[in-house]
Amino acid sequence: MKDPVLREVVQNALDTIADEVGVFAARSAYSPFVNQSGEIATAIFDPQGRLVAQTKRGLAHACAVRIGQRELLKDWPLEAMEDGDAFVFNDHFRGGIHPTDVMVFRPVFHQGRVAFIYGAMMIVSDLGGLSAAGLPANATECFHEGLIIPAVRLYKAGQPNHDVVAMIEANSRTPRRVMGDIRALVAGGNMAAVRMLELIEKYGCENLLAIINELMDRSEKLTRQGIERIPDGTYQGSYIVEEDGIVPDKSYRVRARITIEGGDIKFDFSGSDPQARGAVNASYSQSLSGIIFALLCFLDPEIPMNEGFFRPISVELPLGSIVNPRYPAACNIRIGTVQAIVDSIIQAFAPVFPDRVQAPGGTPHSLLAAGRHPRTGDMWAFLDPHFGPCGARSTRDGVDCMPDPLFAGQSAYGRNIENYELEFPLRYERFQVWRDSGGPGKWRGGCGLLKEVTFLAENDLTVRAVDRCRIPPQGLAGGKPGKGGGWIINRGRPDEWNPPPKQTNIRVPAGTMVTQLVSGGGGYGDPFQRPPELVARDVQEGFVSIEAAARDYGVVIDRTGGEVDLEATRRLRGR
Amino acid sequence: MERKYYVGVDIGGTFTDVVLSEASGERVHNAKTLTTPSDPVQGVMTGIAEALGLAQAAPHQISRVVHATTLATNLIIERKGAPLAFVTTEGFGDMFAIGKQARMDADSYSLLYERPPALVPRKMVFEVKERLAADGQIAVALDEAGARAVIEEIARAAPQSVAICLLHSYTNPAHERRLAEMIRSRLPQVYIAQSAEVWPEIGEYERAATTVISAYVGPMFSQYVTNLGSSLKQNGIKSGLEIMQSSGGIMPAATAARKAVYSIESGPAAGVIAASHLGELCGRRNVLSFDMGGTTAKVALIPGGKPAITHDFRIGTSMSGGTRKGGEPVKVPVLDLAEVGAGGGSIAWVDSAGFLHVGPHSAGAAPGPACYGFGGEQPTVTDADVVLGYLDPDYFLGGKMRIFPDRSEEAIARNIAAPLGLGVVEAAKGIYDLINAKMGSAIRVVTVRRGVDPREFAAVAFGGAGPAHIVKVVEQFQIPLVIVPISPGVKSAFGLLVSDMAYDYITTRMMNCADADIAEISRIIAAMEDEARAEMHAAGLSGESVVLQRFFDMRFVHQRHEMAVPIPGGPITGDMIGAADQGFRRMYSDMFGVRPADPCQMVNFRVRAVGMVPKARTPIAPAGDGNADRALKKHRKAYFPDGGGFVDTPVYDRANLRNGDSIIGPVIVEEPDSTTICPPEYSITVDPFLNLLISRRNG
Repeated sequence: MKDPVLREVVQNALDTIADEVGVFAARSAYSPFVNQSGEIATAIFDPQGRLVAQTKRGLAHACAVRIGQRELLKDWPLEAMEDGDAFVFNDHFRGGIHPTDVMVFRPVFHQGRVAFIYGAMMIVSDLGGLSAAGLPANATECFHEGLIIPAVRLYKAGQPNHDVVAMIEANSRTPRRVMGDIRALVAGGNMAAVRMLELIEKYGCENLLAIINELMDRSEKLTRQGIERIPDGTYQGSYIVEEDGIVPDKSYRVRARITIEGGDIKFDFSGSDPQARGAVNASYSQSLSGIIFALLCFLDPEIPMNEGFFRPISVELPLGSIVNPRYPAACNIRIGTVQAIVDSIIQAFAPVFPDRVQAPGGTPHSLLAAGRHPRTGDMWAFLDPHFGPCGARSTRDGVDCMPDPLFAGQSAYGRNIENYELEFPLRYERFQVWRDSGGPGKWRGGCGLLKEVTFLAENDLTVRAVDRCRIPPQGLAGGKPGKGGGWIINRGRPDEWNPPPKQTNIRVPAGTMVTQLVSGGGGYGDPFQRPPELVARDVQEGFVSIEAAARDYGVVIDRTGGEVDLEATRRLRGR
Repeated sequence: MERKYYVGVDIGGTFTDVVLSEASGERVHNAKTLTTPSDPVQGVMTGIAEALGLAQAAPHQISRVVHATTLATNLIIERKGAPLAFVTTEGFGDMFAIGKQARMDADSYSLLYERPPALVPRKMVFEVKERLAADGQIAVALDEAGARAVIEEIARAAPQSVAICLLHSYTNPAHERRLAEMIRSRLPQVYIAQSAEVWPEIGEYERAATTVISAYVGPMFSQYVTNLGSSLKQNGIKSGLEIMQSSGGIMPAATAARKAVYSIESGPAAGVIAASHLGELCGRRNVLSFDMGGTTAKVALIPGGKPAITHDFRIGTSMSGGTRKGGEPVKVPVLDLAEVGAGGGSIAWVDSAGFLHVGPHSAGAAPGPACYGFGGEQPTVTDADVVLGYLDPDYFLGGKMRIFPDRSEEAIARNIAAPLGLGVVEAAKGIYDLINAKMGSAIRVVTVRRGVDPREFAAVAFGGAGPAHIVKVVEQFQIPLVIVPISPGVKSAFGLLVSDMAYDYITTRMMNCADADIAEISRIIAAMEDEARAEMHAAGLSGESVVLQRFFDMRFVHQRHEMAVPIPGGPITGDMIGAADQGFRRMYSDMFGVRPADPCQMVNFRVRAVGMVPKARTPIAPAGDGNADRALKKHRKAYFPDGGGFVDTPVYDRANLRNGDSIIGPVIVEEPDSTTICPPEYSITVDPFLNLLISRRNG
């Protein structure tokens, strides 16, 4: 405890660098999803490949860069790197998630040697594959999901490597955008380099690394303290993944077995089902991100994230399973599996954290389209994702509309309609709370969303609801499931039809209307025990209809005044 | 001839500051009175009366009153604004129920998280049938019969104000205007805010939120401004009332009443303007404004004498600076401040792994720092300053307030020193260093993070606590010069008297540079400039006293964040667009270090009109005899590790320092509203405007 202040100052500096570099890079990104949501995961590593600092954003991506960086060093030992190099890399059997999630690494040189390595990941606009944005719902191999990029130099000693750029551009539907996105990651690296060099100048390289070692020890200590607060023992939980979009009527199960011994924790997913043919498999790093996220919900989330944090944690993700598939498995629809990991861990801890129980929430629903712009003739590729809301908790309602915590940093009204309409040939008809979609319970599940869009040009449409439509988010302790979402094409017209949750490249003519229904979260507890005034408030705020209030909650609401009819409610609930 | 006076009034949470300046600038009189929250006008009148008393002047001699207030911010924080109705396009009434906030930091992992309530309760949201396309064409005409029925419903809900935001109204306000007309004729008493009038920029959520906030604070704010105006009249002050906007420009009270949302950050803005003015006065092009109060520190960058303006402001968050994702967006111009929860009241604590933290929680005014003796037991930054000998227990607020240094020691010993195994003084030094590092992060946000080298700036320190911390805060950045103005505690109020009138205008029209429509751009710019001249004329300004500035918001095609590129005056030409294109590319590569060859586009066109008004002047003080001993009050022990520990430090009375004095640190300079700390390696010189200039010795 020689200089607690200096250590805190360095920790603040590292946190700030990791965070601001991500924000900065996102601002210059071209992909509308990233530049409106700021979702970039960034990290700094020491020359031994140990994590020094990491952003608090992009939680679903958080572990990828750490694993990817280790793999990078296998192909590119430090002595092979030059000052000003930047590497691009997306192999999801070596740290990646799926091809469209691209990593960039950049060494930071000091006095001719690699002092630190910056790494970052974001989803880029399009890298080819079967459908727009490399998110085909029917992929069965990684080759269907876009160009696979081994660790190659995008910049060599500060100069762009035009061969690599040409190769990437030739494999994208939106070459300009994809390079804009990748360059944004490089811009972040340039800034990280400047900032890390400032720190080195100030404290000296040796001294800085010594302080970083102490910071790692400190994070380890805080993590162990948090784990020690959980009683020793084995905890188990599991959750279902409804289908893979390929094999009909087959579901998959993720099984968590958590063992705590003092300050050590082990996550064993050996009981999980074998990998799927469809793209619902979660790569190793992706599953790890889910585990770490869930663990942090039970520890102090302010623990600085570095290698020390990982020391007390061991993880078993069997190769060939849905949580760590073998090459060449497709992986782009993995988020339902990751959320199943999170939900199984929350469920496992329910006996020791009864106040932090949360029923499962919805999963992301993405609408994708690609075509030629009728006016300019340019190719366009469009992605409009929405994240499922939260399930009910054991002490309160689920959060309405706002994304499940794994997607913190995202907002429900993430992207403005006006910007989309200015850029793409389409018009939105409505964007609403999907009333009655929250699972009824003493505590209500969060309501999902209803968004409706008319395309003004012919296009290839991909609908991709990752999970929890056919088997909607389940209720807990007597709570009812949320409403399972999905898609309606040409709602209310004679040719109305419901595509399955996942379908790729449906050619549709101009004038086609698509309704996106994002599943609601599961409920908690008996809905007939929900205080009637809360049901009345839900009706007033538009989350529950008067019909559902009576049907699901046994609460009769007066149609004119919106008040609870106590007598009628008593009769209905007494049944 | 009878003297004329200008008055600046800044209402803060605790104090109302009044600065009364002779128009000639010869004498300035300050008054600090307690804020009267139930009727703020009362505190203002008391303060003005006190200042007039000091000046022995009469109310009719006042020729300008300029005002900054936290009223609008407080209405929002305390949720005490007007009950309002929000009207939007059919199908989109759930905008605020869906919400744009994201979970941040610890909230990301909280299984107990609750989202903040929607900006407008759903039952007060109304939809009308109409639709514009993105190019402004009418896709569905406004259903007037339906609208009339909706207005009847609104009438039954009896709001005090109505906010209207229809999709794509930024490009064609016809439907919004018609709707406003219909509402006005049915409900003439209601305050109406239309999005295309408040801020016509693309992005429906931000535009709607800005409009709603305007409608939310509008009725009370305009009522307040009207009351203050008539109170001034009743008290014999005949001058008009002017209000500071968040952008640092002022506007007449009547306009401010109409555009309430423009004044939400008026207090902090006044401080930045004061710093900017001071920089100009001292011949410093680049200054950094550093304003440290009881709960927050605010930092703003003023490069080339011009404070930066942001359109990404969010209401209801503490930390700012481009990373804001909590709170509701306000798109109107706000001076770009980075604000951190670090002030004299910030609480120090030790975590379970034995590490020291300071803030973000503040003891505020109640219970306050331990030394206040109001029952606060947590050690604060002020307590650390007392233990280190930086603040004199016998000269707190100029001796007006009694404090208890032993309570500071006790609180630090128990809560910090014991768990860390440190001595009390070392612990206090730790608190001092850590809060300084934290405030440093705000400086980083506005400098290094934006590719700006802080060493090219001079720091202006004010706010009650600023001058005691500034030297060590900026040392981390090797900022070569610190300027401490006279009366730093009321500097923001002074800033009101050196501001210009300003209006901002925006038009969204997306256009690639390669196929720029010169005629269309000329028309857009001319329309905004004509409106600007008309509004300035209405405020009594014209001719050479009005300066128009133009900006294009530009980006590479497909990006979402624009950079504002300054554009010269004169007719719009192809060459001008070419120069803008090049200017944008240069700014972009300076900032991001990459040079895309992609086409770029213009998204918004902006005009800022600045009207020069008479300002308070700061006279040159006569040179002294060069012997600062006349100001020496006493010596007291203060802690300077670089000086070997507790050093018997001379304490000077600022009132007796003269132009040309110089003093070698360590030294303490006291005045009633603030204390300046100059450590051993530094020295102070007093400049002709009686500012303290602090720089490193032999450096």
